[in-house]
Amino acid sequence: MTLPPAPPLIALRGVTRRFGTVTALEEIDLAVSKGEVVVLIGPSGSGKSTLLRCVNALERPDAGEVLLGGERVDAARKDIDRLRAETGMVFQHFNLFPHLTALGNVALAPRLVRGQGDAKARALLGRVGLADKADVYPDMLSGGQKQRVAIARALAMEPVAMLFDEPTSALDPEMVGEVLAVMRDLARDGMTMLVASHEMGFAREVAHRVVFMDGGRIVETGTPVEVFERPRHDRTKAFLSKVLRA
Amino acid sequence: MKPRELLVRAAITVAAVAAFVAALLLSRYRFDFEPTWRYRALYGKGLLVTLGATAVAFAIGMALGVGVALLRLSRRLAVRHLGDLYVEVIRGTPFLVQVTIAYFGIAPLLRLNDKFLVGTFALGAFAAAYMGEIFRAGIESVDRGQVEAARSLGLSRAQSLRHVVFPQAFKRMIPPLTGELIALTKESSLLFAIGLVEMTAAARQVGADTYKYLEASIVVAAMYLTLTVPLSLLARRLERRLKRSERTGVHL
Ligand SMILES: Nc1ncnc2c1ncn2[C@@H]1O[C@H](COP(=O)(O)OP(=O)(O)OP(=O)(O)O)[C@@H](O)[C@H]1O
Ligand SMILES: [Mg+2]
Repeated sequence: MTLPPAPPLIALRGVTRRFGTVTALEEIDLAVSKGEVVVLIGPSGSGKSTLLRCVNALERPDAGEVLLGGERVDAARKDIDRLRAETGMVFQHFNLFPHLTALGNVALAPRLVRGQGDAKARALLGRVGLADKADVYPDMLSGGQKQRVAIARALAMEPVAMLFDEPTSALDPEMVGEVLAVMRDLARDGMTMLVASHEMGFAREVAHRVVFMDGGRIVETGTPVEVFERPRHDRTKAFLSKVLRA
Repeated sequence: MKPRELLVRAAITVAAVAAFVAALLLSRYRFDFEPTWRYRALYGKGLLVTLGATAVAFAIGMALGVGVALLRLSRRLAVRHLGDLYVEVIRGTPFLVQVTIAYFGIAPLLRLNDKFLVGTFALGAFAAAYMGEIFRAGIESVDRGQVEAARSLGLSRAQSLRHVVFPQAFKRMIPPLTGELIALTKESSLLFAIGLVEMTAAARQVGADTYKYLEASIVVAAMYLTLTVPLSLLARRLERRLKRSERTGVHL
């Protein structure tokens, strides 16, 4: 007899989100287990960002629910701040705090929320290869360095999962590699990751599962080999032939 | 300021003052500043009242202004509307009328009859409407992604405002707040309406006593400029520094 499978760390059940007449997400069901790396792909406007933002309570579903470790993610609950800290969010445009140094960015939340000192923030900057940039302000960092600081910042609250919203698409091509390298390391260390990305190479190499979205729906999902080599749906084929040709 | 710019500005200022003096002399009016000098103590008292009223009103305006801004940024419609209403009423009526109503209408209800207290509070409440707008614009100028990043880390709404939004907004608010301080310095002259003898009222009294209205007014104009010009130079400096810092990342 085998043990019942562990409940998923992140679960979306029938999540729907509309903006006026636009349905950004339509009845999304998705489960991410602990240690799993799931990459969301899909054309612009397919709902990838909205999905990630629902997990972090930056968006509120109109219907359905998001569960994190069995707890319902809901912006209205009293302890939402604690629940939000359990996921680390990395944004396309970094959203670093410009008035704080790299170290200040990473150390802010642990200091305010948990009264912790800077030691761990320094270690995290070291982990993303930026120990020497601790006292530098974001304006003085390259795009790749900014995004690495942002990743360190998102790790500072020791989240159980990381959410990445196209973390490399605002970067100059020569800086994409350094950010992907950090993400690869995280995945190797067993971090649970939900990543919206156009980096098919990264998805192929790191993802346990690829989810293809279109029009607010999950069209198909499978291992990278399944989705990339043997896509079942025409929309997936059309999308892949477009992005892989580029 | 570049030396050349400084030179041009100084030259134009001197020329303008010279032209003004020349025009007065050509008018064949016989200047006599002696009587105004005799009233220097009155001017001095007026100066103190103007400075005091402006400073206190500015502080009150800051405190109430933050409140007004928070009202107007609230997620609740009713609260937002309350803030809108306040700003509309204050900005839609002359301060002269407001201070009169405050002194003769509201103060008696609260059993207050200290002119300075009532006057400066009215001035502060007036300033709050304008300063609230400055705060609101400053807060709204901070990118939404900043709050999202802060909240995603587990900071509360208040912590996000205090540690992420305000520090960034404040920098951008310094120049318009300096402008507001200048405006208040002049606006405080309307406190004469409730019998408070600040600089302008002092000058009017000197004029009435000596019939030297023109001299009395020139003196008080010079006094106002002595207060406001340094402030506006400061504002311009800060603004320039801010522009530079937003371009190159030099931090204020
Ligand atoms: N705040 C909003 N207000 C109105 N419409 C929105 C909002 N956020 C998202 N949308 C709409 O919802 C749909 C899904 O957007 P979303 O940003 O989730 O897509 P995406 O897959 O992340 O696209 P991209 O690849 O361009 O980032 C789009 O049609 C978008 O215009
Ligand atoms: Mg997106």
